[in-house]
Amino acid sequence: MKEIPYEGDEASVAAVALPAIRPVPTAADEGKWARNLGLKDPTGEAARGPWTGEVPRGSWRSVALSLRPVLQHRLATLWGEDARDRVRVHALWLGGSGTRGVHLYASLPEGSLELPTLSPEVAPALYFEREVAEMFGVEFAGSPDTRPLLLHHRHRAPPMRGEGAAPEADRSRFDFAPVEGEGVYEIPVGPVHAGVIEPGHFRFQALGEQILDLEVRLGYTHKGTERLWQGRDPQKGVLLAESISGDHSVAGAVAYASAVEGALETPSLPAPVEAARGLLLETERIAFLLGDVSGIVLDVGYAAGAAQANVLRDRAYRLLESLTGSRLGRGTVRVGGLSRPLPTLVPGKIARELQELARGTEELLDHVQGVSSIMDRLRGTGTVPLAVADALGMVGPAARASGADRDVRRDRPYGAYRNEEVRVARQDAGDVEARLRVKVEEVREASRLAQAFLKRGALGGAVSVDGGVPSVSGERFGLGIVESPRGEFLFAVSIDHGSLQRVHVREPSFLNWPAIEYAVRENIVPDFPLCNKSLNLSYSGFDR
Amino acid sequence: MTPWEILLTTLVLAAELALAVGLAPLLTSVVRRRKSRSQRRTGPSMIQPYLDLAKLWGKGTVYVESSSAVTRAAPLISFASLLAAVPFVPWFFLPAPLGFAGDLIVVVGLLALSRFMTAVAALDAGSTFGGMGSTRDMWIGALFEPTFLLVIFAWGAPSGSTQASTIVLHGATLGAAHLSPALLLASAAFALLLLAETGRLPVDNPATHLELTMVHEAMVLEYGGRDLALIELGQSLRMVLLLELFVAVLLPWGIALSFGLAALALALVLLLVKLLAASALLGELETRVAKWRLFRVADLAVLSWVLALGSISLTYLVGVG
Repeated sequence: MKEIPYEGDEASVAAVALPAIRPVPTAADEGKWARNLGLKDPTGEAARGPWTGEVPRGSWRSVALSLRPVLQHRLATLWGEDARDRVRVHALWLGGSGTRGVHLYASLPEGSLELPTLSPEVAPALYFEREVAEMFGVEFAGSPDTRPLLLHHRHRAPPMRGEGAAPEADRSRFDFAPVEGEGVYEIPVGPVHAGVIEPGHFRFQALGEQILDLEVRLGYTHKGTERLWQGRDPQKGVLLAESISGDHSVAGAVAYASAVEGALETPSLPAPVEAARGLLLETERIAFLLGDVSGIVLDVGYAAGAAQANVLRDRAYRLLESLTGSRLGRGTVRVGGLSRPLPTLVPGKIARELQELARGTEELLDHVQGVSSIMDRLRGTGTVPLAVADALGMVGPAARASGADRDVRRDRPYGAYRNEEVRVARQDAGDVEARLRVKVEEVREASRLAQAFLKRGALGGAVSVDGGVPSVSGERFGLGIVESPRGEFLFAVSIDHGSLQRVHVREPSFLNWPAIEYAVRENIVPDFPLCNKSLNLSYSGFDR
Repeated sequence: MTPWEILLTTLVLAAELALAVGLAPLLTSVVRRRKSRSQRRTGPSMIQPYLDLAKLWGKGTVYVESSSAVTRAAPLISFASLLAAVPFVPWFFLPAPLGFAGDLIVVVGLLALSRFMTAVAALDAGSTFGGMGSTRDMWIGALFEPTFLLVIFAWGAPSGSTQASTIVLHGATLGAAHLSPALLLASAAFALLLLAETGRLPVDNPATHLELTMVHEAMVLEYGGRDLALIELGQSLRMVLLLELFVAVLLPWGIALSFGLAALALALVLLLVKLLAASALLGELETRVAKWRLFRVADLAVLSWVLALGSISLTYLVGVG
């Protein structure tokens, strides 16, 4: 790949005095680095937030490239914002436990919507930049891949800016990377699949049964949700947050609500409300992960085991229903607390059910381990090495199965997790078996946490913050990051005079989708569904 | 043969064809029912496969534009060759109606012809899945056909014949001594290849919705209507044919040797019991095993081959047949 030089690269790297590199940079290193760059010092209630500041366009790349080796932060998200006569591009970099993160943005004036690309060095930047490019008409100079990401041929104008804001793009062509050689053939799969699942197109290049390369094309369920938020009452926005990806509605709602609460500088929620949110989050996690276990076992054709997992999963959903009235746990979380208290059921009964779910899941794993034909399929299949997981900035159980030590609940504790130690599950192999083991372990931990939250008075009690959500004037920004069953679920919300000005959502799958293209290499075609199911990527969450 | 015998043989032939075709969907249903139970499901009604076939039969057929006459002719030829194999196998009466015309090697050939036609038709439409399914299926076929022949030789070794009727008659007259180690080894080998030949777990998963893992289903994705009905019925027929061959050789007792009413009735009842038990066993096996990684299917073929070879060695070298 051709290296494209950028103006001011070296000069600005030199301008930033680099603190000494340590194995694990601390919050102090981060603060020193940020102050050197002249970033805003978050104080008071906002101290929960990241170091923030504008970066001149010329040093966008150099700052980003110096940030990584010094702080070892990863690019958590990158998004655009329409500010009338200009477009702002934001990048959020998050680090390890205890660090605040760094939020950088660049302003691009109308008429020269151009920014140097980060993607050759920062792998996750590629998808983000492709999205900002097509949604806002921003050109990322030097990008190795300028194909559309979410939009298909029917879209013309950049949807987040509107007609006439940028030249109409022609999206009628989408070329997959060709692979040539004797006996190499292409397998196009989807977007409509044989099972009842979401739409996505997979293009395999295969030699016999061996997969040489895979490219995924998504965007078939793009609904323009981010624009739907704009101009709305923040309270009503919860409904949209819950439906970003239906299988982790509670996580979406809590992430969104905490972003809005942060923006509005809402005082801390009462402990029972935080405990209630924690209980719902962990119950949802149990149901979600049991669905994954069932899927993995079903994909190797072991229907009896899958049915067993589904029985457990449904019990978790029923528990969620008894707590919220909705099997998916919808309609309970709202900005500033809960829409109603959780019913005053007998805590002992719920705790017992949670224990049984954890025990049942472990028994199932024991059983599955005893069936050699299953374990033979899982071991060594769909391996994602730690180096790849780190380079892609993967999150959630999929990252932890590759050995990445990353969990928002522990690294950036929120709500009830501030007072509860989370034992993070980890495996090193990075294959389907490792992902299955991490998921089972997380069910156990979720059950334990949920029981702890029960003891903290999750049932009944207060529903909202004292005095309600404050109404503040002017432009406010808030960040909400929650560990959903899929991983780090992130909302960035701007509120202008009480109504939503820009809502950016980054579902965990957005970071994890590229991993599947690595996971399947050197595997055989019939093992693809297993790789896919164990990573459990959301189409809807990616497309939004 | 006297004209009377010819008439009776024709009647037996017609009855056996009707029985095989009529029973085929029921046995598929038995396997599915067993699997449903293991998943704590009630499962569809026992007559669901019949209803499905009736539904498909009532539908029109649509062909891929790029396809040729092969696509149109293949389901019929494939089904016909399976049907033609039925009278070479003893069902409830000995000798098998067409036994005079050929032995079990003809059955192997007819099954291969049926497989070949399906594979060719899958390539004809030019879709990727068809190509993928046919390469996998032909590979599995190539692995198991030599084993099939070896099993036939192992079965035939004690009686010195590859004729199904002779093998079964020999076994039926031996009494309990029939269940020799050599026979059991050969039958175990056959049981393994039966899984592959009928596309059951752990070789292929007939219930899967995952297009990339399919073998047989991938080949017939382009078919609908009557063609699909023939293919589905053919798949069930292939299963009942191989199951019957299995139970007839392993448990030959009770088969009618003369045209007595009582003997025929007993033979029919026993046939039903044996077949239902065999399909229930097949369903039970399917609930206990996961689908193997594709290339590991070769291990199954090797295992089957070694068992069959062991059986022959016992008979000829050790003499304990």
